Amino acid sequence: MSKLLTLENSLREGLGSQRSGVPCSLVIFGASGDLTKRKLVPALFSLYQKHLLSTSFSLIGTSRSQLSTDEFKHRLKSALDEKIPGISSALWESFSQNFHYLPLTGGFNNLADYQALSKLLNDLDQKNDTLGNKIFYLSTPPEVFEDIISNLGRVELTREKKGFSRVIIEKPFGHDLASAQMLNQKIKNVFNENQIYRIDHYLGKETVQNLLVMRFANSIFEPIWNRRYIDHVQITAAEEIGIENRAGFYETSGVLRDMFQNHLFQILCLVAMEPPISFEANAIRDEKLKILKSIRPFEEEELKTSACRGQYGGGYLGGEKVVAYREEAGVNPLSTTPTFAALKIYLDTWRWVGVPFYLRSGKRLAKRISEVAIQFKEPPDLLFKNNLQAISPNVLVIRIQPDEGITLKFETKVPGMAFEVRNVNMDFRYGTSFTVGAPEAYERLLLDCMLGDATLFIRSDEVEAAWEALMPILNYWETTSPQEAFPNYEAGTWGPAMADALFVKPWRKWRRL
Amino acid sequence: MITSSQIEKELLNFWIDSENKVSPKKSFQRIYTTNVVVYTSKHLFGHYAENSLGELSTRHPGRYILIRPANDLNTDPVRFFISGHFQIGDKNEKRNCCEIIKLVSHSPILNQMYSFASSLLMPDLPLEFWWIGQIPQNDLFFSKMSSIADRIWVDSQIFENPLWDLKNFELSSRKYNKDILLGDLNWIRIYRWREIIAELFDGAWSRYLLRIKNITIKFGEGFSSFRGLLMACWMAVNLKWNYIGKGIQTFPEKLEFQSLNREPITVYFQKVKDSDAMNRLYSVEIETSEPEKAIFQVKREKDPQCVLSQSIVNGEIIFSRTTYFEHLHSSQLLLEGLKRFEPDRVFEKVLQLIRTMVELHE
Ligand SMILES: NC(=O)c1ccc[n+]([C@@H]2O[C@H](COP(=O)([O-])OP(=O)(O)OC[C@H]3O[C@@H](n4cnc5c(N)ncnc54)[C@H](OP(=O)(O)O)[C@@H]3O)[C@@H](O)[C@H]2O)c1
Repeated sequence: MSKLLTLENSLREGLGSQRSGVPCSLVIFGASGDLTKRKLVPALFSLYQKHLLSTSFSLIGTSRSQLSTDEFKHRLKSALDEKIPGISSALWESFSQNFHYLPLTGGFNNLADYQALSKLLNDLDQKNDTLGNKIFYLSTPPEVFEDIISNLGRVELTREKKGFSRVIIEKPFGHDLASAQMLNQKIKNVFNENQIYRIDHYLGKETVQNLLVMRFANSIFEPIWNRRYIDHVQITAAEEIGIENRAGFYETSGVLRDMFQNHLFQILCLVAMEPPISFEANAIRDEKLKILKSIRPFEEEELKTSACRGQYGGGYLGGEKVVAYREEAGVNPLSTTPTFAALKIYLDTWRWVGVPFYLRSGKRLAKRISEVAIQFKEPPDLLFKNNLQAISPNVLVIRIQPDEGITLKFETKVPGMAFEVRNVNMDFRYGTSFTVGAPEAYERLLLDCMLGDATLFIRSDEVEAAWEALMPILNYWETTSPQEAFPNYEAGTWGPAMADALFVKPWRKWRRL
Repeated sequence: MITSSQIEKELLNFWIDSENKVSPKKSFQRIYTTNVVVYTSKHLFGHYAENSLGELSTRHPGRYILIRPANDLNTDPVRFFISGHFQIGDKNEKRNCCEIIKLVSHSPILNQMYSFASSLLMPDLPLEFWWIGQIPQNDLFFSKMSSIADRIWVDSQIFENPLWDLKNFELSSRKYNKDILLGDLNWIRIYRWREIIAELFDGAWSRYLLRIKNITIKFGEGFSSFRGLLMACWMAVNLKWNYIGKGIQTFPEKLEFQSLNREPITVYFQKVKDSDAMNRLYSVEIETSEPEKAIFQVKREKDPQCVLSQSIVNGEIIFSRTTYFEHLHSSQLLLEGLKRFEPDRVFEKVLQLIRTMVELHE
């Protein structure tokens, strides 16, 4: 990852905070929303507490809600208090002194609003010495992305005359390949690719980044990280929560768009990619792109056996009754939107040919867990033929959340006179082995954007390649009825039984999590 | 005779026993990320070390070995005590734990305990050696443990003569191990002050660094005001100032430097009578020369947990920020220190500067 900064302030030498944010203004579109108060402002506060936010930082929130700056700040403070109780008023005042709110007068498409924004940015630049640096954070529903971007272009806020101008775009990036291409085109009309930061907050998670370190900073894993030693890989991202109050969004997206196109495919890339030539953003993204392009296209016939969809019915989670997807507020009672999917993917690369990658994700599953499990091939069982219990293969598990860490499962002899073999776990837990807590994903990503480090953001060709790989399934599912009538799994379980049918070989099955 | 295998065996039984007693039944996992050997020859410090390790072990899993003198000479010459510690906030099914092994011995043989302590170390893990006391001229434990440790920790706050001790810190430790890393808890105490002062000079503000004229460091009246001196030396080292004052033997009232562009800089030290500020840094005020005279200051607020930093140019407050500042105990300081495992070059330069200042006198 690029080493940047810190200016000519030699007092910074020897301090841990050398990677501190540069002076800039952050403009959040849709600042009255949930993401701003729940994630972005707490992340900024944490950076502030760690002295990683420049003293010349300012924040402009903008949205259609007619709020005053004081009202805006009050909302943020109340939300922050819930997360971090006991922040004194002096501390809050000091943190939020350069926060402003600019209400939009005519939706997101009124040029006059952008002219006002431009003027405010100029004034703040004069006042706070932000060196003309600005970041635009698109935290609105995607419908208005294009309006915002084209208006920023019209008032020339996208130009880097003085300082940098960057844009952070939240997911979902497009609804399908065509819309993602169109959105990319629209953005590229006014921004260069190096100004664009497409966020996938999974990449901001420490354990996801640790995948790279684990693979490439240790000499014991890489030699066996291939088809010769690995039987198959399982990637799981299970959620306990349902759709909360995002029915409108979820009904039109479903699990493939919500989880696979971005998070699961990104993890797949980090697990499967070749070593990059350096840790520079583009070197890593080049390798990830190769993996996305190597995903073997799904033929229609195969889709029946390589992809499984599901939708939750009612059930119990943690002892509480939860309703079926079709009974959630705002959901069509006959909806066929999948809330669960499992895919079997093959990568046509020298390293991975013949090794299946099983990906699954769903809502209202038994517990919240994200992990990657690398299952190695079984040893020849000649020596232990008479053993009552079969020798089970070694598994290396990289847990992403919760309880981030790494577990290696291996066989040992049970103490005693017999030659009995049983598997045990060797555990490494991220949280306990280091004295430093991992930063929140948004904290890391905001700081990286301020520093111009795009390693953990997604490039346009990656987004498009991911859509391209997914399109055959999306098209097939949207034009055919599910093999099994929905709902086909009970909330609080591990998804539809049909998902087991993705495994053909008898020794392969979903891990019990 | 007690042996390390006997201790390890007792530890194993201790954990098996504890596991059986806990209900609902949870399994334990002994985790170590580092070895920490703590030595003190004073009773008073023994207590303090025990408390600090007790706290540290719940946050940082390690093999902790404490060597301290016996209170009572009617006991066996060497005794050992073991205690198990769980990680705070560990909500997992498996609980992480580690242990403290306390070796208590009669004073005359205390410094012979190095080989016993080394036999209890976890292989391959870093060895942090915390020496609680003055820097010795000649001590067997100090020399033997320094020769195998990866880092040595001291706390200059408890030095009776900090100038002399810090002058000798590097020489004494590196005599036995030229690669040993050096750490001082007092240096960590001023870490956040350094950070807050540094951030006042980020970006365009860094141009003022070349024009610093006077610095006034105020500190609460107490028995150790040494942090102010460390702070002044930190700025001098990072800004490459030359020391042009006289040699010092005791805590000075002022220090004189010359900047890179040969301008004089004076650092004044002032005591403040304030019970809350005892021993602590109270404020640091940095004044630059004309034109565009600026003052950069960091000072404690009324709420002792907050500090206010400000940049004032031509009498006008241009920037102001309050930062929350929790008081850190020794275990937390050590915890901060353990987070980074690399040579602290700036601290080493500060030690060299102190040596220069003291040697000028000698
Ligand atoms: N919340 C999360 O945890 C989360 C996680 C990952 C990604 N995201 C993504 O981050 C973005 C923002 O998330 P959010 O949860 O903050 O969204 P949100 O609360 O639904 O929307 C943010 C703001 O945008 C404005 N808005 C809402 N609907 C609009 C519409 N149809 N047309 C124009 N403006 C509209 C509203 O402000 P005004 O009415 O004041 O204009 C709203 O306060 C979304 O793209 C979302 O997919 C969110």
